[in-house]
Amino acid sequence: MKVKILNIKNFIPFIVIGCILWISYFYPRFLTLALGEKSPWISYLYIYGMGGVAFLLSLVWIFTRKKDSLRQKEEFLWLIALILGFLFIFFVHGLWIYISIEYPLYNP
Amino acid sequence: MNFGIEFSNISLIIIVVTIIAYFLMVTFFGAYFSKFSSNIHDFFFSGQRFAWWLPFISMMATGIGAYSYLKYSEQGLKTGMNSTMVYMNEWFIVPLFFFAWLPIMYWTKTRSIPQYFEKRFNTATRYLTIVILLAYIFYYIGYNLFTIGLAFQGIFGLPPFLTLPAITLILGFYVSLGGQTAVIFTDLVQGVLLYLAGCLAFGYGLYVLGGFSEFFHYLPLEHRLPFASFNQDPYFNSVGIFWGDALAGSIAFLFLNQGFLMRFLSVRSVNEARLAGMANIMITLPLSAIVVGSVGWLGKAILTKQEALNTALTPYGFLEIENSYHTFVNVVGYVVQSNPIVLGIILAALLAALMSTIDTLINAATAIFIYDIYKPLIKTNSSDKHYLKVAKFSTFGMTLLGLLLATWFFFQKGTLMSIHYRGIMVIVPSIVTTLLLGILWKRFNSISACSALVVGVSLTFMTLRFPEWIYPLRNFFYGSQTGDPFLFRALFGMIVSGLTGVVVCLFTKPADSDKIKGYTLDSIDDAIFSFKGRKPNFKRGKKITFLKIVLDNSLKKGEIALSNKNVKRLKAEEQDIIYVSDNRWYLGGLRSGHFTLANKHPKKDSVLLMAKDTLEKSYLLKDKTVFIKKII
Repeated sequence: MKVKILNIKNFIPFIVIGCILWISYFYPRFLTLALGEKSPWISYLYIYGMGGVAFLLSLVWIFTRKKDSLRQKEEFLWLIALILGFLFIFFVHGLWIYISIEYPLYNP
Repeated sequence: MNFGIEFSNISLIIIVVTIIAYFLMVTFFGAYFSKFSSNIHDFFFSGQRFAWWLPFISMMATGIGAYSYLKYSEQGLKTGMNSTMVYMNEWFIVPLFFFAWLPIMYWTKTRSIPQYFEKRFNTATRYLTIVILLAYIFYYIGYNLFTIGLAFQGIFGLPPFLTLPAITLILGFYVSLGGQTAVIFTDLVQGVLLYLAGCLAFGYGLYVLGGFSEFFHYLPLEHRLPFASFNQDPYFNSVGIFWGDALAGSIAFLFLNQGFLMRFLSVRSVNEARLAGMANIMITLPLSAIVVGSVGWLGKAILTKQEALNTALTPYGFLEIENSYHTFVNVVGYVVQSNPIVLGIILAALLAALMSTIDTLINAATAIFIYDIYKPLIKTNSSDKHYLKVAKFSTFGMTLLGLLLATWFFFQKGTLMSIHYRGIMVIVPSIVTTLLLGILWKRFNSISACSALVVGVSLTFMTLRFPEWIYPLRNFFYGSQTGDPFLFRALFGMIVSGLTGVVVCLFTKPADSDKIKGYTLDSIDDAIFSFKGRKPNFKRGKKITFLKIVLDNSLKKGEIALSNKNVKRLKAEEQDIIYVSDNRWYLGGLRSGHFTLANKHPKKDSVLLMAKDTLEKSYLLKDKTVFIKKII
C-alpha cells in the first residue's frame, strides 16, 4: 500500500512556510550587518526583497492552480503587465533614492 | 470674526461662493443621476456598465479623503517624502487581486463581502463578517468626519461640534439622492478639485522657496527618501509598515473596502476592472501621495531654510506650526498669503472636496445594510422600489451614525497616522486572513473560518490591553525595539487567525467542493460558466461601432439580434453575452448594458435589434448609434 504521508507534495506548504520564516528572520539582520541600519538603501532592499517574495509566491500559487488560464492570451498579457509593473516601481524607487543621495544637501 | 488663519475679504468671498456652488452642483448631480438608478443594482453598482476610466478617475477622489491632506501633510512634515510609502506599496498583493478576488466577485455576481462569506462558508460567518466590516467602515467614516472637523477648525477657527452636523446633513442628502452613480460623477469633479488644490499649493510653495532645487536642497536626506527609517522610529518604520500596511493594510484597502469594490464592480468586464485597478495603483495612488504629502515636505524645507538663514523668508515672515494637525492649513496659508484669490481657491477646493471619501463609505455601509441585513433578515421579498427607498433613508441614517462616532476621535492622542493605524490594525487582520484562506484553500471550511474570525479578533483586541504579547513577534521580524508595537498588531492578528483556521480545518471535515464552486481560486472557471449559464466563449472578436438601434418587440427582454456578418466579426455564438453602449465615449458607459445574443437577423449589417423594454432598461437612446463588444 502506498503511504500517502510520504508524498513530497504534503510537505510543500511546510517547506514554503519554513522558508518564509527563515527569510523573514535572517534577511533584515543580514541587511543590517551588510549595510548598517542608517543606510538609505536598507529599507528599499527590505521592502522589495520581502515584497518580491510575496509577489512571486502569489503568482506561483495562482498559476499552479490555474495553468489553463495562461493559455488565454489576455490572461497571459495581464501576467506580463504585472511583472513589468513590479519592475517599473522597483526602478522608480531606486532612482528616487539615488537622486536623493547624489543631490547636494544643506549642511549647517 | 476670529479665523484659524488670516484671510482677506476676497479670499473669504471666493471660499463662500465656491462652497455654495459646490453644494448646488452635488445636489444637482444627486437629483440628475437618480434617474439612472431604477433599482438597487443601479443604485449601488451603476448597472455594471461603466468604462474603466470612469471609476478610475472617481477613485482619485476616493483615495484622497479629508483625512489624507491632514494626515499625510503632518507625516510629510515629520518624516518627509516617505509619507508616500503607504500609497505606493500595493503592488505586492496585486496578483491575488487581479487573478483571484476580482474575477471571483465579478463572475459570481457577489455584491458585498459578507455575501461572499456566506456563499463560501455559511450564514454565521457572514454575520461575523458584517460586524467586523461595519466596524471597519464606521471607523473610517468617524475618522473622516473627525478630520473634516479639524480642517474647518484650522481654517476658520470654528469648533467641530458646530461644523460637523451641518456637513453631515448635506452629505447624507446628496448620497441618498443619487447613489453610486451620483457618487462616481461627483467624485470626478472632486478629484479634479483636490488635485488642483494640491498642485497649486505645491507650486506656490516652490515659488516661495526659490524653486525645486532650493526645496530639495533644504530637505534633510532622511526626508528625501521614499522609505521610512528601517526600524528605528517606533511609529513609522519600514519593517513595521511592510507587515502592517503593505500586506494587511493593502489587502484590506483593495479587497475589503466595499467602496472600492463597488467601483471595480461598476465596470463592464473583469478586464476593464483590472485596467481601472492598474491605473489606480500606477497613476492615481502615487499622484495622490504627492498631492497630499507635498505641503508637509514644503513646511519642512521652509522651516530648515528659516533656520539656516536665521531669519524669516522675505516678504513672507516666519512660518510657525504650533499644532501639527494643522500643517496643511498653516503651510498653505503661509505660502499663498500674497495671492488671496489663489488662497481662496485652494481652501475652497479643499473644503468642498473633503467629502470625497466619506460619500463612498456611506454608500458602502448602506450597501452592506441593504444586501446583508435588511433584505435577508427584515424584509425578504419586496419590490426593488421598496429597497431603493429604504436604501435612500438608511444612507441618511448611516451618515448620522458616523457623526456620533466622530466625537470619539477627538479624545485620542498621537499623530493622525498613528490614530488611524491603531484602529485599523485591530479590525482587519482576522478578516483578511480568513478571506485569503477562503480564496486560496478549497479545504478551508466554515467552522475553521468562524474560529479564525472569532479567535483572531478577540486576541488582537486583547493586545490593546496586553501589548507585550506582540513583543516576541516584533523581535522575530526585527521591528522597532521601543514604543507601542501597533504596526505589528496586524501581523499578530493574521498569524493567530491563520493558525487557528488551519489547525481547526485539519481536524474537521473539508469544505464541500460542490457547494463552494466558483468561490475559490481553483474554481473560477465554474463561476464564469454559471455567470453565463453555459460554456463561456473566450474567442477574441472585434469591437463593432456605429450600429443603429431598431426596435423589435418580438425579442425577449435582455436579448439582442445582430446580422450574420457582425456575429462573425464578434466571433460570437448564440447566447453569448454582448455589451452594447452608446457610441459617445465621454459618457463612459452611462447609457449601456449587457445583453444576450438571441439570433441573427436578415436586415442591414448596421442594424441592432432589441425590444423597447431592453432599450429603456439600459438607458440607451434610439436615435443614437451604439458600439458592441462580446464579453464571454
